[in-house]
Amino acid sequence: MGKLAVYVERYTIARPEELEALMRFKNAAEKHGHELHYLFRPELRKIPQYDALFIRALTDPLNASYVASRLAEMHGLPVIDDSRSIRICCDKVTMYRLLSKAGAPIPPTRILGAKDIKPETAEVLFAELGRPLIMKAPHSSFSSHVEKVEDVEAFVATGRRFLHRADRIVVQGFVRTTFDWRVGVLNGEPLYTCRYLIPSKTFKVQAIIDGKIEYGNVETVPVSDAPREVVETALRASGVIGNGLYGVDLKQTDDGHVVVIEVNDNPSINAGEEDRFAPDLYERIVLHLLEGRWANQITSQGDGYPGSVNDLDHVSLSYVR
Amino acid sequence: MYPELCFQNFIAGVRKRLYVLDTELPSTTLLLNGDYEYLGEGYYACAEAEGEGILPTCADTLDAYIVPIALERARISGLAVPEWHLTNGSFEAPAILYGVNPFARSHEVVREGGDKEAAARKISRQGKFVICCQSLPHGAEIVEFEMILGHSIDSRFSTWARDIYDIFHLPLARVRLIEANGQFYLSAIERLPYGDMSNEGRVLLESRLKERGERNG
Repeated sequence: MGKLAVYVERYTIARPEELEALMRFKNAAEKHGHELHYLFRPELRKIPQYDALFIRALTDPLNASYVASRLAEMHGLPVIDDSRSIRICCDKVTMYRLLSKAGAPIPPTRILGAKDIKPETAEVLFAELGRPLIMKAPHSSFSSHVEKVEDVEAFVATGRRFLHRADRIVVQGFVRTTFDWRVGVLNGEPLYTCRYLIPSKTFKVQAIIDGKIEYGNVETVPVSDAPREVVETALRASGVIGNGLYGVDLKQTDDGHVVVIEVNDNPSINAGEEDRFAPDLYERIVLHLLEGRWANQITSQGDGYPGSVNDLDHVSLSYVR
Repeated sequence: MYPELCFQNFIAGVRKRLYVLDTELPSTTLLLNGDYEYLGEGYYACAEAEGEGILPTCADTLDAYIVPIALERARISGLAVPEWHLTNGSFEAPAILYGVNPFARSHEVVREGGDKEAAARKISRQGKFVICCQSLPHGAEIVEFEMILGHSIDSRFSTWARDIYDIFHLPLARVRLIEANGQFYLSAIERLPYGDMSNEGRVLLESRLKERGERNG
């Protein structure tokens, strides 16, 4: 019997869908004879008393979730999210650099520093990458610090603002779609697939419009019904980061081309949403952590997708300056 | 432990914000900087060099600068650390408080009779983030030294300087210790940009680099 610690924050249990998902993790652990305990911030020093750690709180290398992850690693515990995944996924500059280096398809991307935030650079980038451009601060998350700029003035103003907390920012060509694919991946195997619909008044799945937060609807689809190239690309991209739990966001254009928008550590798992066609995801994650079982050994049905996430051939090369 | 470093063109690079000290072996290359703050130039230099055997790694820099992680890594490595805990705001004085959040830049020493609530609110940013609280033994003093390539100007800290260098692989750092009952305990490891270094520290850095350069030709 193993003991799994789940690090949660107050906001993690504020929404009923998240709370219900946490209860389903507990039920899944107990079904297999394991214990699952929730830990809050002041209890993080108890982590070495457990056999594994699952983080269900916002991750950032400079907040308590990273402390939790490193404490687990220093004491030899399996952990989701591992510290390397947090470091890469929470820093878009490093994430795109690694994805590009591995040949994963991403939108045309440039990494800029303070000296590049000037009208001349904007003109060059509009000419090279098209108009509008997408600008991202490295620590962007939940669509915050991601902005679409149409002109030189907006480019300079946004760039200066994003450089407040970082010495580099990301600029990408805009890929227009009406929804993003989200593929949940555990240890190189697909867990679930969703479509995140983009509200008509914005270009991202979550945005503040007229002072109110607008969320796009989530449509869950069975993994087997998702386009094969979307799932395969997600597996390749997640493999660049590691073998943990990821939510890979992708866009598929009208001509069928698939690009990775980002790989998220600590993806949302809400009861009734991500688990709608994947009720076993709770069990798969718990057993992966406590029993070291690979996801494809405990799933009941084959999904037809390749198990290797390191097979990065046949993908178009994008470039990062 | 570092293998012997073979520094080249050292003095010319000392005043640069970032200077790669190349060696003959990739595994012995050191990125010399005093500031590896997350998402800063020093951090990205480490990130871009990962996989090439260059030190420090991004993981090293975060381990060193994030106080609770530094304490645990140091403790596991055999260094003395104070009693500490994570808290949302409640603690007993005397204590030294550190924030664990993206905006943490300072610490607060709260003596007996001090305003605990005000200190906790400040460090936790009104309760939003967790605090790393270190207990201060009766009569404890806070001392700091500049760690420069595993050395210190103050001979009292020679062993500490070598240990911090070996464990965290930072070439330059400001190290804060708690001194109590004739013993030192690690409190925090912080940035030491060249511009913030004391004149004595700069002399030590240049002499260490020059000595290495002469030894290695």
